[in-house]
Amino acid sequence: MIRVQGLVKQYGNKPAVHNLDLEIAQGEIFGLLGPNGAGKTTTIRMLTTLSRPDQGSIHIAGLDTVKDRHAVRMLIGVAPQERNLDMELSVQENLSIFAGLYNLDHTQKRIDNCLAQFELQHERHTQVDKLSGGMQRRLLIARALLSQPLVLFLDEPSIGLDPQIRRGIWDQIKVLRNQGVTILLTTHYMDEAEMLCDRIGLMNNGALLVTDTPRNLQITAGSYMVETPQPDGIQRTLCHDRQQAEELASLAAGAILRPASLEDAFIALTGQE
Amino acid sequence: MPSINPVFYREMLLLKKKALRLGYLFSTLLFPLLYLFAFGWGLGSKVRLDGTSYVVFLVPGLLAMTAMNNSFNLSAGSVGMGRLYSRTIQPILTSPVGAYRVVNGYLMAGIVRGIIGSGIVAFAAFLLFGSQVINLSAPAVAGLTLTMAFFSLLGLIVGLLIKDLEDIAVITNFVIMPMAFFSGTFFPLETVPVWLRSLLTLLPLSQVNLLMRSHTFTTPALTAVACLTLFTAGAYAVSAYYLTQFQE
Repeated sequence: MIRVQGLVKQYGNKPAVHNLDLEIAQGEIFGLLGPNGAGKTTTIRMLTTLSRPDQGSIHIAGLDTVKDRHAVRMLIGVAPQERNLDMELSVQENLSIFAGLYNLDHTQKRIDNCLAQFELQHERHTQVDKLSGGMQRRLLIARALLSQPLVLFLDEPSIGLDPQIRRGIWDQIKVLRNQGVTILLTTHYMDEAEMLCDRIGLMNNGALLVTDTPRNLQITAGSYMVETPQPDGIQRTLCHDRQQAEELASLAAGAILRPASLEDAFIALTGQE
Repeated sequence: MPSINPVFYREMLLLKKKALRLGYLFSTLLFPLLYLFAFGWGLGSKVRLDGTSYVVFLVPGLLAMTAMNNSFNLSAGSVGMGRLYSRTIQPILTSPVGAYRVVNGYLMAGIVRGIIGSGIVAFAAFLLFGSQVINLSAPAVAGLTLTMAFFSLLGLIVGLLIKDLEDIAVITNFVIMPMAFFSGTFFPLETVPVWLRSLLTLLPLSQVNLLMRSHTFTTPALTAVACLTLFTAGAYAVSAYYLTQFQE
């Protein structure tokens, strides 16, 4: 569904994305992870046609994002990290404007369905700045889905939300996957990536370091974590082999042996916390 | 949604919300109304220009200035704020709506706001000084319409290009405001030295002021219409170009 080849983007002399290759299948949830400044947002901007690559190409459903920009825009939905809703307008007005931009038919029916799907039907006439953060986030995703896109881009979909609301958004994302929507999401939450993503791409310094399933990434980095207390903090060591991990843990008093998490793998692979 | 331009529809919804705020109305109309009271009442009864009251000269210029300010500020503010601060322009730019529809939306919204602003000032002038200060001739209407169109588009270009919201204030203070004062709004351009006059006559607002005080399409009035149409067409092409080239 998404094919990225040799993608390069520079801002001045600073490379933001360097030679990125990526393929995402239809119906897949792909997570793009990386520390701040890794190039995730720049990549998303190019994928969503908001920015043009300096080199390389992006194809979505076979269409080039530069040459067939308008056709690509009909196929994608974008829920950005920032809540770029018209805060002074109502929920209904926000969605109506969006439907107009996409020249959609059966506008009201689509709006009703989206509002029902995200449990916002009772907030139809509420001004957006009166909604809670969780409701605004749901409205952003509802707006992105109004045109029934084949591909949905979610940039930090649950940032700053309560655990309960995050779970609700995750459930909605899973429903979309079951409906066949291809989803590319960026997140800083490792539990979110672990819970939702079929595959994860780890980015650092503009390059895609590795692409794999969450489970395989953990195995690659090491399945066991040994945390050994040191005078200046805690030393963390990832081990592939349980016996080796147990031996290491037995060498120091107070050492903890636990299964490695995706976060451990992320830190080991990117070298950043 | 009604089958109208979605960008225009959005701007009208936002304008409806803002228009109900007292602060918004004051900031938009305070200066033209102050000029009207201060120069109209204060000087108007004492000063005569070419045998007629100064107010008859002043009001058409104030209407053009109000239309210019309102149209420019709507587009520049809406696009600049939406692009740099609230990022509400990005959904428009990543939607399949064409650049020309976006330009048309801001153009129409700027015209509506110009009509509202200059309409209120015209109504106040009518109440204060009577119907003789309002010129509704064809050249005046054409001039006012072209002012609103040109400055909406100029605002759109500025909104797309600025790096910081303060840049709008810089352009307003160093371009728009001086143009309001040196384009024949408050005094005839005939009073400035010849070398400067030829320069000032080229300003869009000078052309508009000429039309605002014309009653028939004389040769200078037709030339002014041609110049303003050219400026507007140029601004339309430039704004559409920047929209198609826009990227972050």
